[in-house]
Amino acid sequence: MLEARHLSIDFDKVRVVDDVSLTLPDGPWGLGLVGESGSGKTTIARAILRLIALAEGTVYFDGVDVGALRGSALRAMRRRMQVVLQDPDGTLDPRQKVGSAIREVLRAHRVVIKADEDDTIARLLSEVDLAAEIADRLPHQLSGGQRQRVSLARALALEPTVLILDEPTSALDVSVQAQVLELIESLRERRELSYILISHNLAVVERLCESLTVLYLGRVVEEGPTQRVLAQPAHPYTAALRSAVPEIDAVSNQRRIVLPGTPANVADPPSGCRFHPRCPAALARCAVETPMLVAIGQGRSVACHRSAEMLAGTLDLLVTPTTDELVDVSGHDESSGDEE
Amino acid sequence: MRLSIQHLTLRMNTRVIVDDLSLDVDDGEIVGLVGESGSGKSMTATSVLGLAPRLGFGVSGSITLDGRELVGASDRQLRDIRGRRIAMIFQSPSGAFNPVMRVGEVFERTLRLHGVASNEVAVRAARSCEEVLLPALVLRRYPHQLSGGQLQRVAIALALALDAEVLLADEPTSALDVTVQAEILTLLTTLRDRGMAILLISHDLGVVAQAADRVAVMRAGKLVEVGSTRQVLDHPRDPYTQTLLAAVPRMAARPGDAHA
Repeated sequence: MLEARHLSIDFDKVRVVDDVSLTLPDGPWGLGLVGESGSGKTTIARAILRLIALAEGTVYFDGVDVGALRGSALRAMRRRMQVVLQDPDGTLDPRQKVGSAIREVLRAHRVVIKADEDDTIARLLSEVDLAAEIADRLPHQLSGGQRQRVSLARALALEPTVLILDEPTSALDVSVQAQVLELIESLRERRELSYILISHNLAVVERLCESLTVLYLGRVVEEGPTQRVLAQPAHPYTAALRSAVPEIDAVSNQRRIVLPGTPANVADPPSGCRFHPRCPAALARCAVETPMLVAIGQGRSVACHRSAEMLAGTLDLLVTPTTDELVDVSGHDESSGDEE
Repeated sequence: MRLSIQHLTLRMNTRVIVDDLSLDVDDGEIVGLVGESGSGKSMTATSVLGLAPRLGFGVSGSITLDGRELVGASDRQLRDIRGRRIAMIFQSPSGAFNPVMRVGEVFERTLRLHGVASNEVAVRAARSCEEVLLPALVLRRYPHQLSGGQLQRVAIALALALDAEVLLADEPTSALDVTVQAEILTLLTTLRDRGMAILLISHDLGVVAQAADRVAVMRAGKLVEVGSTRQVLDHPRDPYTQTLLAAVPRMAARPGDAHA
């Protein structure tokens, strides 16, 4: 079990992640991490992998404080926690054949004896539905979907129990994406994997994740069982994200909640509830008083002063903002899309 | 018909990239062009701008704007059309702006280049910003000071400032956050309602479902299906369209389902 407790992360004295806690049970289990660019999804994942330092908080892996690990214990932990990124091109050496890339990982961690390497590579490739001949190919000779399968095979080479999947299918065509999603589903059952899935695609998260954490500007605004949260969001931001999903079916073309303004700058977060300048349900209180993340039953928690009304369905979020409210260009330095 | 593509074929050496494609886009209409990577959708748009020969493609067939033939037209003849009457916006708006030039200067240069009188530039720039719901303040900003969604609005505002009749939008929302994406799609439908002809290129069937009036599905350079959006998405006739639709992950949980 992976537990991140009260994580805070600073970049240049700016708090980009503020008091975020996550629990990832033993597999098979998926935890979805959603939120817009700059919400801190990828930063949190990197901190869990110990690639960046925590300002506050602790990550426990099976009860052990990950931050205190050194030397071989740290190596052992890294082996059990692997990462797959959006763009496989960035993680595969263009001049290294696929088989050699996997062999390198096997050797670095002394997973198998040399005589067994070829068999292990073939088995790993077959586990991600790739033919053994792929081992002799260079990354550019493969399609995007095949490269992402190779990334998965290489991550699995170390027999991890936890995967961090950072937008694993966002760069793929839709038919290829469907195959990779299917593969992730079957691997998690077969290998009893648990994973943190970072995605901007709520439909993907809904399919692959039992639980869901919604982030806004570095804070958790809502969390709980995926189905329950998406069916009945308790936070207006979750409701807005849900309503913004472009859907294909005519029946689901519900009205979209239009949010005024653009996501605020994490270096200069709004007072009170960080979402209040964009929230269609904000009250005067929301600008002053920071809502705490509180349990609301059914395994759910939410940080919103109006969550009771949200749950009762008595809030109208479909108010159309005026032009003045819609855009705030007071000159902040954020650009969207940096991690998409 | 505002924009008419007839039997367009693009060749690179012996390979056929776009194969006998015919598609019309009329005023006040958004036509969604969908397909996967390499299907030829972006090259189709590139051809409309007359840029395919320059990239080394052999072009045959016909592309007309108000009946005027664009295939084979000289660069001089295309100058008035490219960028002014037919505008294009791209996936990454930040890549479309010079990072050291304020937004206002981009307007100034672009409008002057297309023959707008200097005393009219500021008026047009301010007016078109207002049309895309941006305050005139953005004209004093550098691109990096604006968000991706705001920059995409600026790119659209540039097209409006030149009174473009046709907008080619190539994956205009793919790099944007989902709530911002919804805003840009809403803006595109507003422009359509005011009479603009829009070709919306996207790999995302959801995006097309939200905004397009008609949908054209491309595969390996060929159009496999064209029809009204609801007809194509609800009753796809071509097997490839059916496969594509089946592959899209759908939301199961609907707001309000929770009490069930």
